[in-house]
Amino acid sequence: MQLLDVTLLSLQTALVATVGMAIPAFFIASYLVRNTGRVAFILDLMVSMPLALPPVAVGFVLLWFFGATGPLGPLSEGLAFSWVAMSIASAVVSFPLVVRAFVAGLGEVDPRLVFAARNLGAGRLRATWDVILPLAKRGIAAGLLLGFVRSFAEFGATIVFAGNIPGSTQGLPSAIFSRISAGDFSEAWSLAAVSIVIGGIALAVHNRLVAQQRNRMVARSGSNG
Amino acid sequence: MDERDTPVLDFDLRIRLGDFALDASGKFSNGITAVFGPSGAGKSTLLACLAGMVTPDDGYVRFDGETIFSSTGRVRRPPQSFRTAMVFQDGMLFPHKTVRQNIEYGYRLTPPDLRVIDPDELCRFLQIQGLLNRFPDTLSGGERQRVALARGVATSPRLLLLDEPVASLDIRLRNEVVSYLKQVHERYGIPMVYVSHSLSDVMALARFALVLDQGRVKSFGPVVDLVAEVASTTRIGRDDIDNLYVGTVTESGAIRIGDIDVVAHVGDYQPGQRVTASISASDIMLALQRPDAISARNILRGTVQRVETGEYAAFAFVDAGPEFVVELTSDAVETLNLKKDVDVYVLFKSSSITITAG
Repeated sequence: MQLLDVTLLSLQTALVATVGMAIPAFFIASYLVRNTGRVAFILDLMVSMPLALPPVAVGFVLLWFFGATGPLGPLSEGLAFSWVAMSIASAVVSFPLVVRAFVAGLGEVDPRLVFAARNLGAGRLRATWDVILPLAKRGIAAGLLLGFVRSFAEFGATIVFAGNIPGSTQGLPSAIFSRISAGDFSEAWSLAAVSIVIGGIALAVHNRLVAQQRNRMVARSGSNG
Repeated sequence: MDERDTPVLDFDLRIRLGDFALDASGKFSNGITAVFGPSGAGKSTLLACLAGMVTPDDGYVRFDGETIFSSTGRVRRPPQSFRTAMVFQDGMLFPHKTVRQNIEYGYRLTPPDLRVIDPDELCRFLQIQGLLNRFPDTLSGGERQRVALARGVATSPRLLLLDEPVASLDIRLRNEVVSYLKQVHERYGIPMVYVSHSLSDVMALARFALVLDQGRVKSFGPVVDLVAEVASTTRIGRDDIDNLYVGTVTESGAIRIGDIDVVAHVGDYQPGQRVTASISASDIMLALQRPDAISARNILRGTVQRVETGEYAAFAFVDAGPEFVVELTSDAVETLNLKKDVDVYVLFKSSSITITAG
């Protein structure tokens, strides 16, 4: 059944992209939240670039980057036009959103609490695990969900870098595009409906997490006086 | 420097943070050493450097002779290896952990062979056993600071760094926590660095004080030397100096402090209970003869140890069992001819004594 196949492929793509983004986004966000120097400025700019570019251009850059003559060409033979390429394209486009959400979540953790853990004998990783993650968990979950939602909806960079090969690199967005191009509107509508339901649920959970994080913040700053 | 050859803490460091520059050095021995000065003097920055929260631009920091930071030797040990527990002004308890989990956090991270303080006994001593299952945001300010103190002490640290731990508390709770600090020091013998802008706390706790002003060391010496300076400062805007004593409630409803009994309003405190009694230096009078018809319930014999006279006030240190700091006018010092070794009577009303738990 084609509807199920493209949906599963899109879910898989988005899930792999999200999981792949989590750790690098966490480290970059941790750096950005602590530092304000020139390095942080340039890093932030680089990470945020995909927000400013048309996704089609991002796909084009990726095609060159992983292509035979690109910097990663020798290592990435056959990568373009595969489902892995779909995940990479989704991840690159979603990455700035995840980093931004993580920065917001991590920014709410008082650095003195982290230092308190270090002072009591915790190493950097241990303090991250014991203090930062529990206190920023809603912000982190919200960032991951946002990344998932954006990846799930990704079209422009994906179609350039991974193509639109039915049964191989055709996810929900590109399947909708193909149906519309072919004039098959009823099929396009059912695919769009699936997008709306899955995207809507993920977004609702995300919004709830953000609201909870904000409420906790307000409650804490109130009780500390 | 007294007592020992190797200072507990030895540092000489410089750091620039924006417009502010700190340049400080010191050698602290056992006991409680205060870092005293007005806000903005660099006290907290100094403590942050000592704890490894920020890295000095250059200089060195040594604990027990062990170098933990040295710009020339390129040593920069990670803060988790210092074994110096910090207590913050607002506690900085982990909000997602219970009181018990907070206290056990550092204890569990302490290597077993270095654990010399039993957390259960410590919690009983600080009277926080009843709070163990609560979360920090349900604690009062005084409870929070006691828990923060317990969390640090439970790591059996070689040094406690206290960053204005009572500054956010009202005067009653302040005395309570200061008294606990003093008792923790006496019981466990942990050296302390106590940062404060309140001379009252500093006098109650510390023997030596490093005075910072605008990022530089103004003086380092016995705390009593600071009193002369205070005596030359107008009363407006400075704290009262409190005398702080730990005692027990007696059967007759007095408070036994060392060998003497002090009459006070003990209220609901029960005989045998440990309490802290505080009395302001300005609420105590001195007399050369024993007055026979006077309303003050407390009349103690004592001997003047030292007198400091300044432009605005004078302070007499009187040994009357415990030591009392008494604030007088310079006129009174002259009229009574107060000086070292003069025998006096120390007088104060029972209602001048504030009693807190612990």
